[in-house]
Amino acid sequence: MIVAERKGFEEIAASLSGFRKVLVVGCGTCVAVCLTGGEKEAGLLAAQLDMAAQLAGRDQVFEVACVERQCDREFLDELAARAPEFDALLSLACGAGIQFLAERYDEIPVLAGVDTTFIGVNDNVGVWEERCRSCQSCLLSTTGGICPVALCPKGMLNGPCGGTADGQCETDPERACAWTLIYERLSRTGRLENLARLVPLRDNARASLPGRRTHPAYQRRYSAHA
Amino acid sequence: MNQRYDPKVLALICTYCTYTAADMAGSMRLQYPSNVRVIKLLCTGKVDVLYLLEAFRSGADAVMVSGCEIGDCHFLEGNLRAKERVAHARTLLAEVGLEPDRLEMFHIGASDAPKWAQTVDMMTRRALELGPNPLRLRAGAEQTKELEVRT
Amino acid sequence: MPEFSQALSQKEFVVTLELDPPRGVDTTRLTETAKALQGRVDAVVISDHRGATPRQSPLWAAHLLRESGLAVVLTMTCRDRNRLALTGDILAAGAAGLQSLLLVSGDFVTLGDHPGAKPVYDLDSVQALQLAEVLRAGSDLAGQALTGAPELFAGAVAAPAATPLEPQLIKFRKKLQAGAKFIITKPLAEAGQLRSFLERSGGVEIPLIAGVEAAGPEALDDAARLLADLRGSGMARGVHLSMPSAPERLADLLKACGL
Repeated sequence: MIVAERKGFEEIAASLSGFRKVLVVGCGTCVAVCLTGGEKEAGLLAAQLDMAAQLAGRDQVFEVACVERQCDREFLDELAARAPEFDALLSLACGAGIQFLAERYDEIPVLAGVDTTFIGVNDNVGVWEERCRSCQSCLLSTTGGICPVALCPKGMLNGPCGGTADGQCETDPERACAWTLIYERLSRTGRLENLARLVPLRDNARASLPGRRTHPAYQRRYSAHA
Repeated sequence: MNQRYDPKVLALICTYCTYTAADMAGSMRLQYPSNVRVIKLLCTGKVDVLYLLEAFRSGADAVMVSGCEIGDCHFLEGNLRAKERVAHARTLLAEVGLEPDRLEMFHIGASDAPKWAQTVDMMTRRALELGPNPLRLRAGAEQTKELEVRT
Repeated sequence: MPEFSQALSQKEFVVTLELDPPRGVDTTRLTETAKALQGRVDAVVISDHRGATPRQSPLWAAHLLRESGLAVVLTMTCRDRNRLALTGDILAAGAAGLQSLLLVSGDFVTLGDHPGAKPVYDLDSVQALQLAEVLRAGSDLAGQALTGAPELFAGAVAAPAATPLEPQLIKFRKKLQAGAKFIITKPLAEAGQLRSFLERSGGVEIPLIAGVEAAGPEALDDAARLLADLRGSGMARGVHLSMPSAPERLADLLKACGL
């Protein structure tokens, strides 16, 4: 899922100065699961903003809404009646959701309450870890299900750099070297021959441009001849 | 306008330990400030950070959460969760500019009536030292009335 | 002009020294150092933004040293260049007569003093060696013919001290396969590290230069001892000396090593 973290309170409060009536819009999917931008977090942030505004003597009103997914038009429509009452919308969705909300209500300033951090996994209660860079050329079949693009800071494709010490990364002694993990898993499962071939240069062409994908079953619908 | 400041201390306490201690304090005729308003919960694990912020928005001068002693929770770890949530709520209060010391977590066992009396006394004195919750002053009498209704 | 490749073919044991380009435009010190090094080392390895700290482009420093009559090995990292920039810099090196390249992945940006810089790593060090081979053969990565192919002598780094060693060996074999012409190892703590690396590497046909780094001016004797061990062992075709913590004392390091 997509993992995000709340922006600093000062930054959020500053971005809202000048707006009297603000709707804090949570998103009920990824950012809710990572305890950053769901209904509860939207409520907490609105409560905080309200308290800070009162303490500073600012005349501001904060209300809360939460939609199932801000990256889906049908859910954004739920706000259609309410949104126009507000001077600004503070979105707690990932960067994609924030943009879709801004696109749907493009007359109203939409502000970002979170920083989107990565595509990751729930490693433990309250802990998330990056696993995927959405590079559009997945290598996981050959690398033992461990991604060198996301987990090796240098994104090395042909093996570890020379900075590995005791299986840890040169960038951080607390971080495991991705290539050590890859080697160990492939070794354990008898697939070391996967590492023998020279890996060709990555094709960055697709990933360098904003992505757009149409499901094969829908291609006819959206083609010029439909 | 020079009203006497009579702190409002909200206590969110669990029914098994701290509430029993409070009950016993009554039976023992222990004296402690009447500033405390008690909300009895099945477990402090029920305490949500939102409740804590809401308490201060509604005008509480201090909030104490009190559960069982560590290891004695009837729901195994409800009091431990409450402890983490109180710690988190304190950081949220600090971000907003409200003194985190207005909020504190305690662990008071069922037989520890004296500790209950001492803790209420301590939190009341702390609320006195910190002065009235500035949110209550801003909101004026209207919200104070609301608080009374709520408690 | 002396070439590193010549020294390797003519001498049994070569000594190279690592120099950093200046962090500014003043190259006086660099050229003075170059003068003092004449006849004492077989080649100077010019580092490329070592430790991910900004310096003059190593191309210019390498050019100056070569003009002053030293054999030069030009380090090029994949950290700061995508395939276009690597191609361009390798061609520029070739045009300047700088044949000897050391192609490395490069210390990660967060280890330097510009941690906010964007790391590139479009290619890894194996792929950089492949790129050098493609250019040497007269075309670029898109298959377009070059107007004049560079003469290149491209080497790579090995890390015998890294642990675990086995994944390093896999990468090392790929570097040989990709056409590395020589190897310089990262600094060794003792000769035994190179021994076990060589035993497990399955044979190295190309010249291997062992890295010897003096931790500081107080550790010159240790470096000299390691150099003597390596020279006596016959395992390496030479040593590569460095003292990044005190580059101004490199002359003392050479003296301590009897050079």
